[in-house]
Amino acid sequence: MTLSQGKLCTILSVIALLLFVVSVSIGRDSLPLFAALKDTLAGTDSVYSVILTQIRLPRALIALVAGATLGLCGAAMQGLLRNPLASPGLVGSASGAAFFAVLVLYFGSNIVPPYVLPLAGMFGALLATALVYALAGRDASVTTLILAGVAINALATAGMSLLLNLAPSPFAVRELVLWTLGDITDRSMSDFWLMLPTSLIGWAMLVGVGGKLDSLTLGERTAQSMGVNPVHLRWRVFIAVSLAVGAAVATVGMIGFIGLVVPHLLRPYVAHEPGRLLAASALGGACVLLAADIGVRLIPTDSPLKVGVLTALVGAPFFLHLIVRSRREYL
Amino acid sequence: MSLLFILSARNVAAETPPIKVASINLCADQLVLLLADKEQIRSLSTLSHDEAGSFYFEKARSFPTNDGHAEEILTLQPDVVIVGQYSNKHTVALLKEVGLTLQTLPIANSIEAVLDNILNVAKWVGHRQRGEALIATLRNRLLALESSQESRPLAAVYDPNGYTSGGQSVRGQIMEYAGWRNAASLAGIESYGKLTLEAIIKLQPDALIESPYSPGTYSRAQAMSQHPALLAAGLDPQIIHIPSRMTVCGGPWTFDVIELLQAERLKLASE
Repeated sequence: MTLSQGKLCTILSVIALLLFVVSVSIGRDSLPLFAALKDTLAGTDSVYSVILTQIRLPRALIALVAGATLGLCGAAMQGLLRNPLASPGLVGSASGAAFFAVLVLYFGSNIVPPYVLPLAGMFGALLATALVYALAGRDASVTTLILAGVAINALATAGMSLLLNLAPSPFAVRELVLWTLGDITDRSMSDFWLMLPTSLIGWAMLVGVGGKLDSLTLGERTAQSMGVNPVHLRWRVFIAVSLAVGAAVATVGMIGFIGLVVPHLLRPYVAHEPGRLLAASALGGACVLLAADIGVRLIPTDSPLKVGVLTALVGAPFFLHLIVRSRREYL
Repeated sequence: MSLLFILSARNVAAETPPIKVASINLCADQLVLLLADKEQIRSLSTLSHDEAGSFYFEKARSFPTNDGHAEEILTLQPDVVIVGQYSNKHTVALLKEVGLTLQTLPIANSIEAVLDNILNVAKWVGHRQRGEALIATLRNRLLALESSQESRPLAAVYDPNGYTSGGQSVRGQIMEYAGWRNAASLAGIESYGKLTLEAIIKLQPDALIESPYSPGTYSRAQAMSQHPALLAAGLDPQIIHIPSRMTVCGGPWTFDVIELLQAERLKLASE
């Protein structure tokens, strides 16, 4: 089933592009797309053009970037740790971001301007990674790093539980819980511009990591003899993941399973090479999040369905299916 | 004279086009239904049709609803959008960004705040006088309450899982006005907290006031009153049931609840 890298990426890009167009054209009420496009291109501020450019476009763009981040970072973490169970949340940045975002919702949601929420999330992601660094030390082994990540995750989760526990009213509890579920509804272009630079820095740091991850599959010693500095590589991936995932979580909340499932799904098509998996997973992640975000708009529920809930609901059984299938293959 | 005044007021209203209103919050829905004219209401929240939470659910059913998404609201082009204190932050920010006028209805924590909310919504929908007149009537109803201090029995709000309301909440103030002492305040709860079984046994309330959101299912307060520990302590609190649509939000019906609880208190005293 192996495809050439160019072919695979082209197919995934085409799917992502199609889903992006569908995402922009779908809403609760149908939008006369042609009129909306005409108004937008003519520069007139009609209701349609505002809906298209200020409500639907940022939503699709954020789904694209956040999905790509989750897929890419999942693949990078699985390659680095040589463990198919690794997910981008392992370094603590996701829960760090979520904790700080919830902190802002709890204390200052009506006082601070809206851009403080994603900024606080990104700060939380960086702080969590810094704490992992401080806990594990510069020359830490993979196991120490994971343990430090788990500890920071636990601390951030405990912090969130504490805030929920102390919330002043049932309404506040609901708001905090719903935020953590992961959702892309009604984000604005300013949210997109806030998340983009940090996401791009994270992605850029992962450029060129692919070959090193390939060498790492031969074992750390062999990789070292091939000129790979494992400690250097580890921190490079960790900081990249922390930046990109932090930006994604700060903007859309916790969206599970994309980082875990997408690399699994695509691994057979890239001959199980972690280096080739990176770009493919980024595109695949974007496709999955765009599709899930279209799904939540199409599935009619009484309370609006959150996209993080949908990805987990679909992702978990699918993951089980993958495990069963791979067990059959190994036997 | 008064007829003339009404006529001239009508003329003024005819000259300026009515303010188009949309609401994405259940409590704002109620006050909009109360204070705005039918033609003004563009959209209410989905919950406004819900029997359990919406006091004017029947009236609300003749209006279209929204799920609180920016897109739906924007297509309606309302002059004012009323949002709640805990409405989705992103939606609120986005609606502001695309240039709509937003008003935030805070959660009322006292009877005064309920009256303030009525006045504010009346102003936002362009019927300030209507709001002021209503508030005057409601204040008179408070003054007319029987205020003898002889019997002030003890009660507690008892919501599922033991949640209760203290003095700094509408439900706590309702009890105060109706002449009950609040067991939650004695247990040190100011606004909202948990009333433990131990506290109930220690304080021995005469009544538990419940307002379950899903009526017809089993009553937590009833179950609590049957708790072996309570029976053993010889407690048999009266259960007062108030429909949840009268306690979820604050409005004129809040004053109905006060009168209802006062009647319950007088009934208890005469027993």
